[in-house]
This record gives sequence, structure tokens and C-alpha cells, in this order.
Amino acid sequence: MKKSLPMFREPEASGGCGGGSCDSDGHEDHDEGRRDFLRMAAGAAAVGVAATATGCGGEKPDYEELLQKHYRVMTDDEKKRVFARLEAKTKALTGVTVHISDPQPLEGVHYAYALNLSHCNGNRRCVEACARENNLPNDPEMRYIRVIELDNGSQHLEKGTVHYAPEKVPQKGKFYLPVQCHQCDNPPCVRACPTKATWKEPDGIVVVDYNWCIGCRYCQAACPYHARRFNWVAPSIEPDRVNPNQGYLSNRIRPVGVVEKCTFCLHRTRNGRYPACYEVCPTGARKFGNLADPQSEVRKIVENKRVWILKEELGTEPRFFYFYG
Amino acid sequence: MKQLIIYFLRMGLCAIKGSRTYYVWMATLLIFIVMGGLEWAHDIREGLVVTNMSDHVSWGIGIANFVYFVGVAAGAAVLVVPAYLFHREDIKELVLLGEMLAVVAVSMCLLFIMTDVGRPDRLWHLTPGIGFLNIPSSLLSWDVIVFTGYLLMNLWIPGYLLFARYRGKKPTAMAYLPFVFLSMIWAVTIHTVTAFLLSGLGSRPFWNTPILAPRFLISAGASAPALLILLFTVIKRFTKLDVKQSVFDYFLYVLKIAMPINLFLVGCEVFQEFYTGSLHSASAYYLYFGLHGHSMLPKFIWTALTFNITATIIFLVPQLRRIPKLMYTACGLTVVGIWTEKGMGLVFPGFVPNPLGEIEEYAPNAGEIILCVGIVALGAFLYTAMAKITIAIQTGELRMKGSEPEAPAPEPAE
Amino acid sequence: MSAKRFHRSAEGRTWVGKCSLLGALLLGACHPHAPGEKEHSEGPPGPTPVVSVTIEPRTPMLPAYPCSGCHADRQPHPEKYVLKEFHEVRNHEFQHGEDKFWCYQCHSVKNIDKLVTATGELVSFDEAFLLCTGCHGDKLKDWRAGMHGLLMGNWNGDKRKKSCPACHDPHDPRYPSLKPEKPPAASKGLKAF
Repeated sequence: MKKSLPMFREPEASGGCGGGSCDSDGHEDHDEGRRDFLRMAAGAAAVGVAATATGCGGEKPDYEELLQKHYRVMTDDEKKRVFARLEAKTKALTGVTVHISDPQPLEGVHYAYALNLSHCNGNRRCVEACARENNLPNDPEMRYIRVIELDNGSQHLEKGTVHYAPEKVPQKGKFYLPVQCHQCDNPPCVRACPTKATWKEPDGIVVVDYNWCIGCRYCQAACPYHARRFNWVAPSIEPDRVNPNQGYLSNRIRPVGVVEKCTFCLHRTRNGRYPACYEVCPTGARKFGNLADPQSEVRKIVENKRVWILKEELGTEPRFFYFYG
Repeated sequence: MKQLIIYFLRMGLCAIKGSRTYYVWMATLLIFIVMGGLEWAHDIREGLVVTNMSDHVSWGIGIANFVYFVGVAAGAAVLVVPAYLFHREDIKELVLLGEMLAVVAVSMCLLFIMTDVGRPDRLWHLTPGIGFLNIPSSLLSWDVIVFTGYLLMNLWIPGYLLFARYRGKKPTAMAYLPFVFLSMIWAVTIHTVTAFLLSGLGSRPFWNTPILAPRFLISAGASAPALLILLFTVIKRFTKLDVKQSVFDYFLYVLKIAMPINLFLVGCEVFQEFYTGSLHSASAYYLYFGLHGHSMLPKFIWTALTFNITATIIFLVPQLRRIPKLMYTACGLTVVGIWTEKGMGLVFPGFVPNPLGEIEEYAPNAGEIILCVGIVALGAFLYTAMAKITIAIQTGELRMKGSEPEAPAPEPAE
Repeated sequence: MSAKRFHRSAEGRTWVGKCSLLGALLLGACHPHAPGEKEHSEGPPGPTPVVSVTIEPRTPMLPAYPCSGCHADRQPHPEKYVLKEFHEVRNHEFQHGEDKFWCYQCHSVKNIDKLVTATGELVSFDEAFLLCTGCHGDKLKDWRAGMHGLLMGNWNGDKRKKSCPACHDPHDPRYPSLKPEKPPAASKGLKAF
């Protein structure tokens, strides 16, 4: 074991949860040492599993990664070490120097997305821009956004298709419905996760700690919008497609066997920028902003336009509003 | 506890020694187990992409088997209840074998989960204290808790009783009876929680129905006795243990109630789906009739229904059930029918169509089937060994040196 | 939740507390939020950042501007006729106003470098939106609010938007159809049975 691993550490003198020695419910943790020991024992078992399998493949199991704590209980130092380790790993894998940031949620912000169905013409630029921004693999293909082509007159999703491929869009008599993670306010996926690997941040974004997820895919079964993707295989991105500006909770290159989804590009939006899908949309059908700000476009849309919500009867309270403008 | 260590060593020896049939059986199972193990190693190395699962159907034959074998585990209550609640002596001799079945079934369920998650090296994240368990929100977390509890309970009760019998000592009622009664309720709990983890999801209208938990319990109550009839027939044939006819009559009695109710509940579900005919019934249409040209599943569910109906008729008609061959066929049909209806016929259509109305079918590929067969073989392997040991201890073959030669069957105080 | 109050109080383990806690546990996932997650509230909002919205000028995008470069010594032709030189491509492309419009509907006769609104007001090419929304008034309010059209920049900072002709060619205003990107990869399909 590396001697830098924390063992039987004293609780922070400042007390409270500032030093990060608390569990996710905010209770101060005086059993940190015992937990570390137990974690290592469990990690040893995990190492056994990993070593058995990867030993056959010749990889060395990463002990620090196997014993890594949940994002919400890591101290800033631990996070820095984790990010450095991940950056090194990405460099070794792709040859690209990346920077993993951890932007914190902004105060008083609650993100929302509005989508103008009168203007969306199904060109799917958003799908591809998202893939480039979020380091989504091409083989096998993973895309967060799915655009459904529907016939005018009905929202019967079963009758629609995502596989439309005409020469030009929009097609006559059709309209287009892009769907991605709605960052619901009452998310069934967060309820379903057995290890609390996915949770809703204060600014509304539902995030996943990719190093905590056990890959049970219960959240995938629970999501009513088919928003979550699973890494069935270790994702491989061509070096020239790697986006080096990465966020720990958003677009860093994920490991195999974990679930991921749209995060409203939080590595961009928490720094004031628009998400990638928004910026590339040529028709201006996508609108994004802070629902809590009365001056934002999304707030004005929700207050003035006839917005509707996909599968509202399920009570998920999405923060993604469709409207006809 | 030197005696305990010797006891375990002697149990091990008992499991290793056996007749030629025993060796052939265990060797065959070992082959399947090893094949399953290699397939799992392959899964871990390559990722689950080697299965036929996709983002559309993200749970496949592994979870289908999990759902079925939870029913088998819950079905051990079918033995525990008459033994301890109704004081049926003929069943009391066999109750430990039933609890062994529960242990083996729960272990198989845990293995099905372990081989299905994307990161088995992170399963320690589920341990409260060093990881996080999402209580009370996540039904999967509750499942972990109830499974662990049921496993421990069903390891303790037979373990304690067998050790007592081995030593020729009378077991203390307080050491095991409370757990026995708890396990009766707990058996219902584990299956209900498994049903809830499916029926709580609003995103899957096929599962989001209150009838799911009752259907699970009744189908467990139907498939467990059928399985036990076959099991005890084998035990009667190959071991020294005497299984009385009254036991088989009791199982038949349970089947005569559970099978028709099971059919009734299926009928209730079918009526609601097809009479209302709302868009939420798309999965039911897919299951029974196929949807938009995709029709892999209907042949399976109709076969399962035919099996169940045939078996029910055989069980209910006295002239038919008196014929042993028909009886055993009916039991076999029940097991296969309920496995199909509850495993494939429940898990696969839940994902078709997906929440956005797309249809992507799923059927397991050879690798997944090998893995599942391997796990079932492991279960059979463990059960055979454990049953052998249990029967040896119960019939007095395996007895601690120096204990009374004729220790009576433990008479638990009330 | 009332259970929490009992749980934390000094009396703590009252049977009422236990029952309500049990009840809450049994009710389970009725409306829980993940621990640590704050309740979503619409207000009070954070401090509204000072956001400036600039309208991108249009004139730099016009290759033939200023029009007076050619038109200074040409006489205006107020009656409608078929164009024969330089702009004759507009004869075929012009799809605006159902044959009722022609050049001087929007271009000013008096000053060729300006556009003219329905009320006769002269506006520059950079303010073309004042002309367009004279007829398409429903779009003005949406465009001003940022609900219509592209809004570039930062969601909590300075933004830029474009005037109508940047996306809608006034001579053929219908938004052009585009070639879509490729559809999602084909499904895994059934490999057994």
C-alpha cells in the first residue's frame, strides 16, 4: 500500500464538516480510522477480484482508485490527488494533456433548459457537439441526446423514430423532439441508486461520481427519459477528439462499467458559459439559463410561453421545458 | 472450539466421499461451473459489451434469473411454515433441507447480481459505514439488507440445529426458534422487496403495477413446491432419508391453491393491459403479440402459459395427478413455465419499448447463457453437498465421537 | 419531517417517534430527496448579474454595401419591373410577400443605403429588425427577450444577438433546411434465437 493513504487520521481540529471528515449526511466522523481500515479490507477483496481478472489481461490494479472515497466526503487535497492521478491516466492512455477541474455550484442558480419545438429542425448538430465536448466514444457509439422525429398532430413517442436520415430537415409534416437528461427536481434515478453515486447538486444538475458507481444500472431502468448511458466497454477516444477541458463530475473520460449522462456541461455552465449543445444549435431552438433569475430567457419562457413537460404525470419535475414559440 | 473445526473438517470429508453417481453428478456440475467462471472473467476483462444487453435493454437474463431464484428462496417458507407453525412432524425432518435450498438460492441471486454489475470491484460501496447505502430511498439497498439478513438467518438455523444433532445435544429453543418465525416473515419480505424494486419505477409502466408483488409471491408459492417435489423425489431415490408420502401430498395441496391463483393473477394483469389498451400497455403487447414486427418473446410467453395451464389441470384432476409420470411432468412444466413467465416474461418486456418509444429487442447470447448455467450449476453443486451433509447428520451417520448413539430428533420447546 | 424532530430531541426515543420513523421508513421512497441535496426553490433568486445584450451589426456582412457606391448615379425606378442586371437573380429567389412586394417595399427610394419601415421611417441595415417586426410584431417581443433566435455569450454575463437578416435572408426568409447529422448507430440486434 502507498504510504500516502490516510490511516487512522485524527479528525480535523476545526470540527464540523469543513475538513471533510464527515459522511454524506453531515455527521462528524470520529471513526475515520476504523472506516479507512475497513475500506482497505474491503478494497483488498476488491483487489482480489480486480487482480484475478486484470491479472489475466496484464494490467496492474490501481489500489488508490479501488479505495477511493465518495466525492462528497473527499477533502480538497484528496480531490487534487485524484484529479492528478486521472490526468496522468488520461495522458498515458491518449497522449493528451488534460485538465480536470471541479467547479462548484454557483449560489442562487437553478439551471433550466427550454426547447422551442417550432424552431428545432432535427439537424442533430447538438448531438455531435455534445459528443465532442463530453468525450463520448464513437465505437461503440454513445450519444447523450436523442432527437425523435414525430408526425405533426401527436406526441406518440412510439410512432416516432430516432433513425431518420433524409437529405434535408425539417421534413414536411414532421416535428423534432430532442431528449437528454432533464435534471429532474424529483429524480427517480437518484432515488434508485443503491450507493448514492448519483445525486442532485444545489444548482439543479444531477451528477454521477464515476469512481463510486458500481454499474448496477438500476438508475437506467428508473429514468423515464432514456437519458442515462452505460459504459459497456472501456471508452476509447481518438487523441485528436479528446476535449482537454474536463470536469470531474462531467466530461472526463469515464472508466468501464459506470453510468453517465448529460450534465448540462457543468464544467462550462458553472463558469458562465453555455452548454455545447446550446452553442452549436443553428436555429436558436435551445434556450438555457438560471430559472431563479427573472431576467433570464428560460424564466421568461416559462412565465410567458405555453411550456409543457415530457411525461409530467410521472412527477419527476424536470428542468427541461418544451414550448412552441 | 476444537470440536467446531473438527465438525467442519468432517463435513468436508462427507461432502467429498460418495457414490459413483455422486461423483459423476458433481463432476458434470463442476464443468459447467468452470465454464461459467471463465465467462465471468471474460466479462470483467472485456466489459459487459460481450453480452447482448444495451442501453435499451440494460437488464437481461442475469436479472431474470435473479428474480426467479428469489422466489425459490422465498419458497423455503413453504416448508418452514407447516413444520413450525402447524407442527407437522413429517415436514420437520425436511425443513433443514428447505433452508439449505433458501441459502443456495440466495447465494445464486447474489452471484447473478455480482456477475451483472459493471464494477464488481466496487461492491463494497454498498456496505454501510465504509460505503453508502441509500436507505430508505433505494429499493436495491433494501434488497441488499434483506438478502443479507435472510442468508444469515438461513445459515444460522440449520447450522445450529445440525451441530446440535451432531453432538447429540438438545437444541435450545431460544437459540433458533425466534429466527425461524422471523424467517417466515422475512421470506415474504425478500420477495416483496424484489417486486417493489421493479414496481416502484414509474418509467416502466409494465412493472409499475400493484399486482406485481402478489404475483411474485404466488408464483413463488407455486414454483417452490413443484421444485421441492422433484427435489425430494431425487433425495428419496438416492439417499437414506425417508420422505413420507404425506409430504408430497402437502406440496400438492399448496400447488392446488397456488397454481390457479397464479393463473388468475396473470388473467387480471392481461385484462387490465388489453382492455384499457392505453399507450402504457405497449410492453404487454410486445410480450404477448409482438410490436411493430418485433416478436421474439410471444412464443415464449404462450409456451409458458400453456405449460402453467396444463400443469394446473394435471394438479387439479385426481385421475391425472395419480399417474406419477404426469405428476412429475406437471412439476417440471410448472418450474419451466413460471421461470419463463417471471424471468424472461417480466424483465425483458419491461424494457421494450424503451421510455422514448424505441424498440430494441434482447435475447441472451451463448456467453450469457453459459454464465447463468454456471451459476445454477454452482447452486446445484452446493446444494447437493450441503444436502448430503445434512442427511448424514440427520440419519445419524455423521455423529460426534462420544455422543449418545441414539440421539432423538430435537424436540423444540414452545 | 416530524420523525427527525423526535429523533433528535432529548426525549428522543418516544414510541411516537419510533412509530413515525417506522412509518416514514415504510412509506419509503414517497418523496425523498437524496441526503445533502437542497430543496429546490424558485426564489429568492441570486443577485441578477448585470447583463448587456449587444446586437451584432449587419453591415459588415453585406458585400455590396454601401449601395450608393453604384446607385448614387442611378435613377430610382419606383414602379415594379423585372430586374435585368446585377440583382436579376432576385427575380427567381424572391419569396417574400406573395408577389405583392418588390425591392422598394423595404429599400428606401430616397436613400438607397437605408431601409424604410411601413411607417416611412428610415432605418439602417443594422436596425433591420425594426423593419421586419413592423409586420412580424409577434417576433419582436420574443427576439428582444432572447426567446427567439440565437443568443450567444454567457448565460450569466454579456450576450450578443443577431439581427433578423443574419438568419432570415429578407429575399427568401424561410429558414433554410439543413442536412442532418448521422442517425444513432444501429441497434445491437438479436444474436440468438
